[in-house]
Amino acid sequence: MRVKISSVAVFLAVAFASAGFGQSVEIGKLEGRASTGKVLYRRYCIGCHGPEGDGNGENAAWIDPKPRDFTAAVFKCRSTPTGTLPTDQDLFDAITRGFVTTNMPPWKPLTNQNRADLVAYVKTFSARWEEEKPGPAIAIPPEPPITIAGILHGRELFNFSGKTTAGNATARKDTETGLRLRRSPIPKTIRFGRTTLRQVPGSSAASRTRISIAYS
Amino acid sequence: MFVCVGFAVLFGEIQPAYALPIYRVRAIPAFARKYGLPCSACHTAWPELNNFGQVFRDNGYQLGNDHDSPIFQNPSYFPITIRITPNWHRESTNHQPVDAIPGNASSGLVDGKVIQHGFDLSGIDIWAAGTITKDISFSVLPSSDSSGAFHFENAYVRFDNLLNNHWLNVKFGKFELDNLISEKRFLFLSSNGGLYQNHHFVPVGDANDFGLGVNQLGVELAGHSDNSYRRYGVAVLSSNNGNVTLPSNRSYDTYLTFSQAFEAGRFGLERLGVYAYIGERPTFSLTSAALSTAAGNTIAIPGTGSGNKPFYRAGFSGDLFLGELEFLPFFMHGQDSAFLATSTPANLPLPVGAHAAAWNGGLVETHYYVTQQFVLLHRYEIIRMSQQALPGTPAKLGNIDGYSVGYRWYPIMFSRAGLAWHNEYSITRTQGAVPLSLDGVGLPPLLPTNGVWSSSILLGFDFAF
Repeated sequence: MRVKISSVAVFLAVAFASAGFGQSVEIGKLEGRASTGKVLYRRYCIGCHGPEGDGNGENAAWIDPKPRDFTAAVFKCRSTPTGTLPTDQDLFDAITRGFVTTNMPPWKPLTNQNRADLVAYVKTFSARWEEEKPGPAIAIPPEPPITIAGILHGRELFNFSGKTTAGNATARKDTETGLRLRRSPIPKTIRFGRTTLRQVPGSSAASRTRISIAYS
Repeated sequence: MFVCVGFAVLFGEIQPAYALPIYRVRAIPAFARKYGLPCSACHTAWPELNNFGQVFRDNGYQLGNDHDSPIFQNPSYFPITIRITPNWHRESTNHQPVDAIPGNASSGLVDGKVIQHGFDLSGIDIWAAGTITKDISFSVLPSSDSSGAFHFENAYVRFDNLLNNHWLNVKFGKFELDNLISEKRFLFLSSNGGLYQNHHFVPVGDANDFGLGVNQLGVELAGHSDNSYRRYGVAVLSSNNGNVTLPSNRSYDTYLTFSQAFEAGRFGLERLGVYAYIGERPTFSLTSAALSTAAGNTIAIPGTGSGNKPFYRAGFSGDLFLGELEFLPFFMHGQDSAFLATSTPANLPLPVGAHAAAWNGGLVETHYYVTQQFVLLHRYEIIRMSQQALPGTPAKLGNIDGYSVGYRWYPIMFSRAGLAWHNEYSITRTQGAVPLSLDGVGLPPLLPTNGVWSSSILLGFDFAF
């Protein structure tokens, strides 16, 4: 009898470990669990990111930019250097805020615990999370003072980026991972707001320039 | 007698059988198509909203991305939602007065049991909703009963985020009263279970037509925090119980609601709320001999109700989670003026000893989400009269007990459409009166001391496209 129980326990342990269900993350005071996150993933995320997390959900065919492929563990929005994994907080923030101009809405209405659980589950799709650590946080210098010279520099940067990318989602190759990433038309978004129909109040020339400076 | 006749004419005959204007809806696969999200993103189990769906609704059907734009449409987007439920159902009601010899009206009435069953259809909803432009949303919902008679279940325009503020949203038209326990989004479909008794109850003999579950006409100021954890609503509504063409009254009611949610770790999101409806109904109306019937009955001029008398409903509700187990508690205290409760025009004296009718009611509904595609349902509901309007009225007259159990299985829950297999059993006992029921069948029992049992079994395919 003991042998049978032990066998079952070993089997369950192996099964859960192989499925990544044992994985958990800590985000602040929250502990996210992959086992709970799986249920939530199937409820909220599966339509775009797919059951395998590869970005091939039923809606993927109609979405541009395409849903993130979690099996590659490559993320654009992160606080770590290119080529490294994002932090758990980065993933948590991405889920919370969503991405304007994409199909990814802000999931802030979910509880903090729900979002932490989702982070834990998203990390089960790639072995990179087992093999690597997130990169060190990028040091972000304090916002520079607003000066005439800075504004002129910002305008210069803005005009440059606007001419090259406005309205066009361009593809580029990530030099470190070798994967192709799609660039969102950020300047267009800044100028026209999220609906791309009208100017938003905050899109004055000065604020645009400030944003450009921030991007610089 | 004249008083009674006049009053009955004014309000329509005081029906022994309830013909309730209850129409369930409310899931919008057109939004799933528009945003590329599965039904489960916005619904715990459609049509019940989860908090993500609540925030979407509170924000004026806007998620905050490109897809909100009314001109953002991909070729596959079909903006109309259709919902109907082909079903088989069985209805049983006991203590019914039936002819001793069927077909022989002079054979005398005896106490009998009425059983009906067969294949049937629910009503159909054909719904369009969304944004007209940024921060201006709308909803238009022509809805029919199962015979195909249409009405406007809702039709409104909503000005969202006024002054760029979540707390200021104005809705104008016909809409649902905001409450945590929504009859428009609940998971029961059968004749007895497909309504909240509390949302439509009035004491036996009461002339008040108000139902908390009926969409009302008016204007609403509502607001919510960023994640809709805190919500409020103030509505001013015509005293016509949502009926169009100003059929009876020219006064206004008020509805107030507030709720607060908080996160309870792994239990989930817990929400508690309070509400109050303060209204009045007319007790007589202007009449004109020119409108008299051949029998000499005078006819009320529509929309000229007078002699308004007050009533109110107040209580609390909740939406509590223990992981995958959801509890929906609800409590209501109701009171109707003695004039309404005894159907007495205000320009005539009350019956001796008459006073306001009062009652307490409540329910506990439980859902267990086995998966996001399979949910077990249960509900127990109770109403108890605490004060009858007339002395000598049996204290228990009108009391109700209701019990429902069932499940819904969603084999199809895509981002384009949904299909649920629904199986439900519901039973209701009403003391001395016909149970509130959607089947439109039922008469008061021969004796007011009899409790009338009415049960429903329903199996159906509930689909929304």
